[in-house]
Amino acid sequence: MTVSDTPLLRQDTTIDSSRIKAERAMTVVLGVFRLGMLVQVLFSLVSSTIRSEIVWGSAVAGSVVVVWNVILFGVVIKQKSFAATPTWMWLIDFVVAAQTVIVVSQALPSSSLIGTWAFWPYAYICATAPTFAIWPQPIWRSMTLSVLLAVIYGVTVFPGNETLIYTIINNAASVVIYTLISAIGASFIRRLAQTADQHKERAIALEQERHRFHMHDVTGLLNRLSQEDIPPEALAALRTQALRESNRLRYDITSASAATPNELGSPTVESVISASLKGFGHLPLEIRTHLGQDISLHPDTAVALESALISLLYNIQFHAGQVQEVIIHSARQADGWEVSICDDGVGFDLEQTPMGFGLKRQVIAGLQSQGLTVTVETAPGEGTCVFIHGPLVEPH
Amino acid sequence: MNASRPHNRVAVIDDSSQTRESFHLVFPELEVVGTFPSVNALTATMSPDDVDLTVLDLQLSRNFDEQVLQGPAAVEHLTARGYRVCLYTDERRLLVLATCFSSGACGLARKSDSITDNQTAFLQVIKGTPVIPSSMVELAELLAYRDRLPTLTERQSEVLRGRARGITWGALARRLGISTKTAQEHMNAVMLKMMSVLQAAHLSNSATPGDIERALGLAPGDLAAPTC
Repeated sequence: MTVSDTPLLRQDTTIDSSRIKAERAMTVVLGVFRLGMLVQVLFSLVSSTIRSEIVWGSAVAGSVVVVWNVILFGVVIKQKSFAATPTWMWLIDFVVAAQTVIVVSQALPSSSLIGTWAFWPYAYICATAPTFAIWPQPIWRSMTLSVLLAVIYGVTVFPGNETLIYTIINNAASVVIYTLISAIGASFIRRLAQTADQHKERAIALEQERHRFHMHDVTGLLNRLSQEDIPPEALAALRTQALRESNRLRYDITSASAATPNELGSPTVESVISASLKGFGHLPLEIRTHLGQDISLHPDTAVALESALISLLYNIQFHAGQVQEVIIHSARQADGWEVSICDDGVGFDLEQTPMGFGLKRQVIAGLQSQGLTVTVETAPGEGTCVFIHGPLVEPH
Repeated sequence: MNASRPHNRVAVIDDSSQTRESFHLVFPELEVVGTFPSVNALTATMSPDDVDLTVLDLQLSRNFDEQVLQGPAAVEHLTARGYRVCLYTDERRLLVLATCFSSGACGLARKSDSITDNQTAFLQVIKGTPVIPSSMVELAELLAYRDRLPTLTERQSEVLRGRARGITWGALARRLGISTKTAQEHMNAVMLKMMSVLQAAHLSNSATPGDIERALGLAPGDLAAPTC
């Protein structure tokens, strides 16, 4: 996210989907693995040339490998992933790998075919076979190609090395196992990316739906206000409604999705505040909960707190005409937590004006029954604040 | 230029043509010397010496046109060229506001506040006094909580805690046994200290929330959007 936040409804076409990013990540990992192996093959060929031990069959096969991989990586870099390359390329990749095994095994003495870099094609097919899993093809075909390469390897190096049969089988099996691991990893990453893309699409759809819902009344009201024949006596009511809709729209757009209980399913101060605000978005709310994140509550405490907050908000709504701002604040403190709700309305004299039934029974008594402390601070012309304190508890 | 108001020359940048056309009517104390739909239109026409204040709407493109300079990038562009910028927006997200003030904005007038309050804010910024919106009290409280405002006095901390909770000036003054004016002065001092921290952080307009939290010395997740 940039600082300016990605607008909720913006579908930025310059941002790649998770699936595309996943394909590129797999291409980088397996591409580097394969390039590393190619460097080792080249080093083997050059060193044997320097020592005048060059085997021409090996040199020719090596040249084919180099030329093919230059072409292949050129296409992959241009397309940015193996998955985006033309479908026929996997076949050439397989043929080149197979020919190296066949040609070089015929050019070398059988004693050089096992356990030496002179027979570099084994290393090459070990690096090539895993990339079969990220070509645009089904898993069964990747595994079939891999098994075929393993069989070709086994059949070509077996003559003259009969005593090393178990080594040959193990080497051949390694080719298949590397491909299988690659295929499982690729499948997992692709599913993960696909799920992420689906969630993203779902989130965008839900957000669009939410905006359509919230815009419905606002557009009607704006249209009404724009009409020149509105009776003057109706303007005051329309302006009041416009202010409420403006508050509601700002609250709905700027508030994130509703907080949910924490990972253990325990209600939190945030989730309770979030739940209590439903239906009060038209009030001039300002929510300040950055200092009160992840504070767990006992379920009974959560019910009492939510009920109290709703009662207080109803009370504020009743006097909404005189309230410019309602601030709900939460904070973790050394010995517990605090939630406060303050408005800048007319306030009242606590000594002369007794608290109403709602404030006394539903708010104060309800919270005190859960062991919470409640303080009400108010004075005429100075707004009203209700402070609620509670102890920290382990997630329930 | 009006000789009686030599220091109230204002340029307005807003994509809404209605705002541009009505600005001088709504704020008669200001001498509107130019209105522009974009940042580039202003910089191509007027130098920083021609205006005392640039009033800047934060969102200048409704079509998400990436060619249009807006948000913190627009603030940075203007302040780097010497324009004094006051934001004119209802933006309240702490991440965005922190970056705007770090980029050199001198004030913010909320479009949802009264016209009188807006005009007072513009005039205050012209005089050189920063105007920081009440929405940013929470950021100041967060910075203080993480010991990033170590020079706060005990009284300033008390005022900050009270205002963060929404206690009115009158109630707060009575609670602390001081005058309303003194309480407001304490709060102004807090906001100026916060502004110094923001400006010293040099937040980039392309910074991620994590970058901003690190630059401000906050803990991971401190500035994440509240979930309620």
